[in-house]
Amino acid sequence: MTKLALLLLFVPAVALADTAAPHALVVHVPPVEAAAGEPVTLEAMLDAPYAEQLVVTWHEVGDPAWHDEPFARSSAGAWFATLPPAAPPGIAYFIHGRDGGGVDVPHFASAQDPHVVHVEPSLVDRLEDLDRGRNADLRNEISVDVAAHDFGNRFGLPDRFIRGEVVYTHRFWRVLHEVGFGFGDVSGRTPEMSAADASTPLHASRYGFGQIRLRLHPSVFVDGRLGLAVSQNGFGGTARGQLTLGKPWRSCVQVGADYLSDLGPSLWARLQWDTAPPVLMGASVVRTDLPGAVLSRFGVYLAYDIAYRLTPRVSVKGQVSYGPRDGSAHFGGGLGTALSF
Amino acid sequence: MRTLLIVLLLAAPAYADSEPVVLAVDGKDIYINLGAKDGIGAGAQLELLHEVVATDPTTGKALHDRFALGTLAVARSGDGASLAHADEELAKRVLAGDHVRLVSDKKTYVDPWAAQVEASKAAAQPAPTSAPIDHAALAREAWQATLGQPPEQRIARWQELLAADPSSTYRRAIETELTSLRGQIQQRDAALARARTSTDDRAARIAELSVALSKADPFVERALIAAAPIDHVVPDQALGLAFLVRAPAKLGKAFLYSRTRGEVGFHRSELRRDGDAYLRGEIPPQTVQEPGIEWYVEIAPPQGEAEPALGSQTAPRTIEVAHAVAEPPPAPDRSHVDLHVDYVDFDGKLSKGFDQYYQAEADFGYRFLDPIYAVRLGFGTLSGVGGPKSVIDHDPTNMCLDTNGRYLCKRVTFSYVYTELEYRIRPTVAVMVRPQIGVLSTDELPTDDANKCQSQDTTGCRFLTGLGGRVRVRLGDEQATNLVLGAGFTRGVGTLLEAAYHWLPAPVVPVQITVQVTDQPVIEDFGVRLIGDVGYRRLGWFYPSVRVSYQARSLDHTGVSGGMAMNFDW
Repeated sequence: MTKLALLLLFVPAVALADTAAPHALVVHVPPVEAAAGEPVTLEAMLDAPYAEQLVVTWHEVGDPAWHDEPFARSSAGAWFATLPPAAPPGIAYFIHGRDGGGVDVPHFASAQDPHVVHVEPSLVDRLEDLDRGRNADLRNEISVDVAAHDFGNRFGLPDRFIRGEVVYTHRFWRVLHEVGFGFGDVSGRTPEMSAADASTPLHASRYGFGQIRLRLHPSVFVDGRLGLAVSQNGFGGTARGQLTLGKPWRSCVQVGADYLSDLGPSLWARLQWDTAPPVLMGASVVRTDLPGAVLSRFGVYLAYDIAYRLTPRVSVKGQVSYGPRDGSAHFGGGLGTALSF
Repeated sequence: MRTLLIVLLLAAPAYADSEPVVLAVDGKDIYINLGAKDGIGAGAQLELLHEVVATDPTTGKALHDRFALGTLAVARSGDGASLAHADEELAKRVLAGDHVRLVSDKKTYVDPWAAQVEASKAAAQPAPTSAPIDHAALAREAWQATLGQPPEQRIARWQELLAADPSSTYRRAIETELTSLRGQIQQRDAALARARTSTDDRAARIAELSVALSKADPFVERALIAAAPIDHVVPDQALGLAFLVRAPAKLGKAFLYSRTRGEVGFHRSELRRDGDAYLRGEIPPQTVQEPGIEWYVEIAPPQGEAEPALGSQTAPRTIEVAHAVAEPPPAPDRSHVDLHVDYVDFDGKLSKGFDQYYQAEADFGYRFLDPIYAVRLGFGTLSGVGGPKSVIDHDPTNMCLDTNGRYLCKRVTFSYVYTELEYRIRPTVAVMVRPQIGVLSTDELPTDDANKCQSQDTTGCRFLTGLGGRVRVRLGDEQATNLVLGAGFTRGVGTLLEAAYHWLPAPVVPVQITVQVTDQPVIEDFGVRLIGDVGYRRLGWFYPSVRVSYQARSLDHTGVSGGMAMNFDW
């Protein structure tokens, strides 16, 4: 045997293009799933590794570029090929070798039919993908909303307000779903008492605010807002919170509260439904002291609103409201638009 | 071992440009893919390296690190390979594939065949002729052309030389070389023939490797086929499975059975063979659904019946499927809006009586189905006049005065908002709970102005917060035949007990018959109402309805009235 081996040592070159050329065997248990962000290690047993140059050829699913990773042997005897940390949806690979004749030898799967190691995206990742698709990957929005309501008054005195807000929103679509900041203005008149000769001074507040929306569950959102305001009485603040059960862009129930210093609190419950696409409709019951009412705690109105997405970037909405405070109910309304970019 | 050694030596030149490695180990003999052309010869020192794959736990990045095991001494070298020796202890640790590194100085070695050619050139100077043939130059040129070529091409080149220079002074040496090359080809082919893998040999090699793999990784299954563990997948994506076949000789066909947990039967698909020793298959996306997948594999030997190999029909393996987050398109018939008004006249005198009221409501509802079946939200007004039946009926002045001349009727207006939650205990049993709150104004002075308490003159008016609620139970199909039983109470307004039967005598004609017992609009005598409500659904999303009611607090205190509604369904 040794003689033969030594004899062959002096053979300068041998063509191995013959189809019967010796080949390695690769035995491993193909992984089916991997954790996101973790490298994928293939552990294999090889024989005749010298007969071929063995590599794992891989690519991330969706990326057409293939990469090669050679097998390396550990001191324990097994062979390893470590693929880089994978991202959803996964990583695809096949194992092959190139023999001495330059012939490609498949060992497991192929470029045409690679084996996919699934990387399960986190729930947040999956939701973000949905949000990105739904919003055409437009992460920013500027919205302008104006709403007014006339409560009427048994003495014919003015009891009404108008509120306008401009809000810039940036969407993250993660647990921190979005952040925003804006500027608002509320002004109106309301009687100081329930009397025919009550004065109806102008109440107003101009405020700036920052706000966030948290997605605590696929169908539970919490909005929070804090801001600073200046009113007819001086410097103050504003705060707002809202809980959404469901998705704000689908059918949902929302309950919330809002407070403006010197102008009072508002509470609302809103039901929104999406069953007549592309129109989004909602009905709200709002109890409010705006614009700083003191004569009655019963300022309540029912609002019905419709939103319509004109284009993926532009949507408009309108609202009508009806409700009393001190006397018979009267109407109100509102308009708004939003531009995504 | 011999076969493998031959094979590796044949293959060695193909790796001339790759990293130097141990080609094979035969006892103390260690074959390296470095030779004279690499500056390696007898006495050269090589460092033996092992490689380890290490992962930085902080970055997750893997790197290949090498470390020295010891030194090998080269005993003999060929052009592209060498034979080295190691001491006994080190020899035990050397494995084919190990990397080596030259640690002694490189030297230049002379090719013995080239030296022989040069020597023969000097010894055989041809006699000068008129057209002298430089046999040496031709032979040297042919030799250079054969270097690095496989033996077949070398033979062809030498034969070409002999044809071109039949009188070559090197003819004998060339013919000797041709014989040698042909012999080497025969030996090589014989070695390759032995190295060719037959089916049986492959199966044995795979089985041997599988055993080694199991030793290296104790988590690898010992069954006929082995699969990697899989716990969770996301829904709606095909799941490709691959299995290592540990004993290919025992495998004829293999079948994958899968189903969504809860399905009655399994879907069968044949696994396809792949690569060296694998089976592959796929669980289709329609099966990859919540709450999970159940699967098993059956294997049939070449001649025999299929038997479970991984899991079984009675004990399938399971994979959890994550909750679907994809948003379904808006479902029709999930929202309902109705605007209705109902005028109730208990004493038959319409607006001139003292026991009438109207109630108007705007109701918005959406069926979420789960976990709360439906949520409703609405705004309503109940406004009217009422009082003791005995006073109303027996006052000869028809002014609701008692025998002492006191006015005992009241005019009430209750404006309220409400929310209602509907929870389904069973598919045909629903419970609806509705809290409501509003402003109740009560005018205890006689007036014809129904809105007096909403005007400037609030004499005799009292205002209070009206809290109330209503509970209903529905038995049956919400949008077809059902029976609703309910009870409600509102402070200052009264009590309402009701039973309503709803059905569809025709698909476009919803009908509801209701019986109510109530003391509204003021808390006095109870009366009974019989209400018939008929709609006509010409459009899918809208239908109007009208109602007629008969109500009585006694046989001589009755009235007929009605109402209407507009219903929107999206």
